[in-house]
Amino acid sequence: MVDARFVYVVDDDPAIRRSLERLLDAAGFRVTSFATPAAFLGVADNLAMGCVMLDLRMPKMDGFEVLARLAQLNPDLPVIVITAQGDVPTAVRTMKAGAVDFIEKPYSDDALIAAIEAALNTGAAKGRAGDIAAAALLIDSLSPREREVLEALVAGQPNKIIAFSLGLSVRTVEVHRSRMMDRLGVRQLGQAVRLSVLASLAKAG
Amino acid sequence: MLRVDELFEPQELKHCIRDLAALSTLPAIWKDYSARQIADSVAAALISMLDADVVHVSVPGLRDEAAFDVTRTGPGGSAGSLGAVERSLRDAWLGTREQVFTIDSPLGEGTLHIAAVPMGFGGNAGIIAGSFNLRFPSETHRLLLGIAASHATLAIQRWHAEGQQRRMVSLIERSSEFVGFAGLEGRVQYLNTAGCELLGLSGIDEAQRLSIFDFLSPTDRMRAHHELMPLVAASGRWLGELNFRHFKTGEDIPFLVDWFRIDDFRTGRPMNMATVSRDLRGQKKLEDNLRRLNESLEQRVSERTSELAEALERLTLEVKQRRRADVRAQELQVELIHASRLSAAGQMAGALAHELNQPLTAFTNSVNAGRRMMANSAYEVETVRDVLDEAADQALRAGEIIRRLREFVTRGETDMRIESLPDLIREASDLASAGTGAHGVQIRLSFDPRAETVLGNRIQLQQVILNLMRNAQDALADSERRELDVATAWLGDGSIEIAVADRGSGLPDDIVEHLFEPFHTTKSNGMGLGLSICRTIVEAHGGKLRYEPNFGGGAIFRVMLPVPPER
Repeated sequence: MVDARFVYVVDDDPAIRRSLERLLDAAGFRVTSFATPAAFLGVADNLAMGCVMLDLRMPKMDGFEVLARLAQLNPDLPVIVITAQGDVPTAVRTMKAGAVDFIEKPYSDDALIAAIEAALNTGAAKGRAGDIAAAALLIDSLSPREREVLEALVAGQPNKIIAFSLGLSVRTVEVHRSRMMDRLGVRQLGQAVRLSVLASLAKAG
Repeated sequence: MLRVDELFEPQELKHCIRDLAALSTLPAIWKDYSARQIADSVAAALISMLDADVVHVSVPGLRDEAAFDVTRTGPGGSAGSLGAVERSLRDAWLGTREQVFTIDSPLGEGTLHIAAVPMGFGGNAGIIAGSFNLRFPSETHRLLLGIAASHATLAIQRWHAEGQQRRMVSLIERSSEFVGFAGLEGRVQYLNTAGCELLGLSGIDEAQRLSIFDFLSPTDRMRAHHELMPLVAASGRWLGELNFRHFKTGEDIPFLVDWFRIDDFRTGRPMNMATVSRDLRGQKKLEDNLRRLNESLEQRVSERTSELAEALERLTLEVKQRRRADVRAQELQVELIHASRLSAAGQMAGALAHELNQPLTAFTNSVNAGRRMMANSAYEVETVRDVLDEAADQALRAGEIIRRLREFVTRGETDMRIESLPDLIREASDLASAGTGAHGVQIRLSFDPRAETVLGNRIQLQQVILNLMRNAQDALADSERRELDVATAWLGDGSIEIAVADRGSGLPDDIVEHLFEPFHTTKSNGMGLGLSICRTIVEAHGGKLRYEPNFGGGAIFRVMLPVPPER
């Protein structure tokens, strides 16, 4: 590996920063940590190409605001959002704010490293464009029913409500949901939501 | 004695015949006269015929008619007191009782020749005629006087008899009842005005063309003919109800009929049939009205009764609904208390999850880092040891969070005081039984007098007892013996005990192993925090929470708490 692979960690929890530095160092990345969003944004436009790991919940400034400011300072820098709140609305909002991926705490090291490498290989803007096209293809492969279920899930509806509004049984909704996840090649609902949001960006663009 | 020689005088005979003829016409003239008019008429006739100077007629009282006298004087008669003349004539006659005599004239100078004849009434009735003529009375005079007296007597008697009959007829005619009589064969002879009017007949002439059976409604005709008429003929009378028929409208009119036979009072032979009948329509109408009134009264009573019954039913229903609503309200209250505790537990769990996520993430990162470092010889053991130390720190941090959380559960409510144990349990039991209408669990409380008090936080201990009792109630939901015992006991080792025992399904072994661990639950709607929090609270009070199976099925939870220090 000729080029150093940079990872920028933004997290207010020192234990998380320290342990991530250890882990990513052991995995062969060059890690720089920032304890506050301000410290990160202060240097964001001068940073070498790499990947940002952003904690969503921080005092003073939350992750969404950091995403918004970063989009102006350095739009090419890909951001992976780390969150303890694994709920769908948060995931949707994260993706729409421009993150390339998001990961729920606690995570396995393999999942984390795979996400970082994917982000580094493609780069933010280009990567997102590719991701969006790929996501649109995947979403198109879904049946109308599966897409309806996915859209309802993205809207944050529980299975029961989806079943009621689509006139299906809860069991059938679960079947559609499971088949939909298989087709998209994802195991977590958050990933399916990410693809759905990316695909919707393709249409908007 | 009549002196015949005089009658042979042609003039005298001619006069006599003329007077006799005149007398014989009088009764016909008197037909419509009253008794007084008859007496006056005969007196006037005798004055003329006898050429008399005074005639006095004395008529006795008959039935309801008073006695009276009539006195007439001739054309040459004085205008003296008639009353005095009458008296002297009558006294003279009553004194002598002779038919011919003379008296000193009460009319003036001279002697009055008197002829007197009694009338057929007996007593003092009679006609007295007086004249100054010396030849009075001749045989012819006496003959005429006698015949006139006979005629007058008969006429007056007939007048009296007819007066009686007229009164009877007017009585019957004016009666409002149906009165009539008929021949024995049934031909109508008489019907009063009321009878004609009641049945629409124009008058007696029309009625006399009819048979009594024509008066009856067709339904009663046969019975009257074959049954009643023979009965009346045989026994003399029948009284009962019959329907008459109105001749114009054909309407049936009910009558109360008194049907009787009239017999000849001399021979005893039946002569007529008669009836006095009463129109019953008025009475029937009254009866109908009365019955209707009664019926409507009954109906109103029954309507009112059913209204009252309905009202009662409504009230009962309302009471039931209100009672149900009350029970529901209590249930809701209990649910609310429970929900607020659940929600507190839920918030606690949410906080727990987030707080624990941080150290767990760091811990995982560190352990994974260490694993990767150990696989890579470039890292020194020292570095790996540091990483593992960091991991251990994070594990301790997680433990610290949990300890802080447990403190939080009891924090702010560490207000410990001496409480009455029976009171505390009774309140908790009231709360537990408030919403158990559907369960119908019978709760028995028994208190050991040696375990009167406990040192602790009233709310927290009640929450423990409430929780255990609700668990027991849930366990008893499908049980046949829905009995729940809560008993206190003094254990003698410096502690007291609250035992909550049920006869429910008991607990399977795999559940018992993890009974007090958080997030283990057998309930579809449970968080699995109840017993965990209970034990935390009990332990915060320096006590213990134990489970054991109930002998013969069911569960017993024992809360053991230290005996409060003596003051």
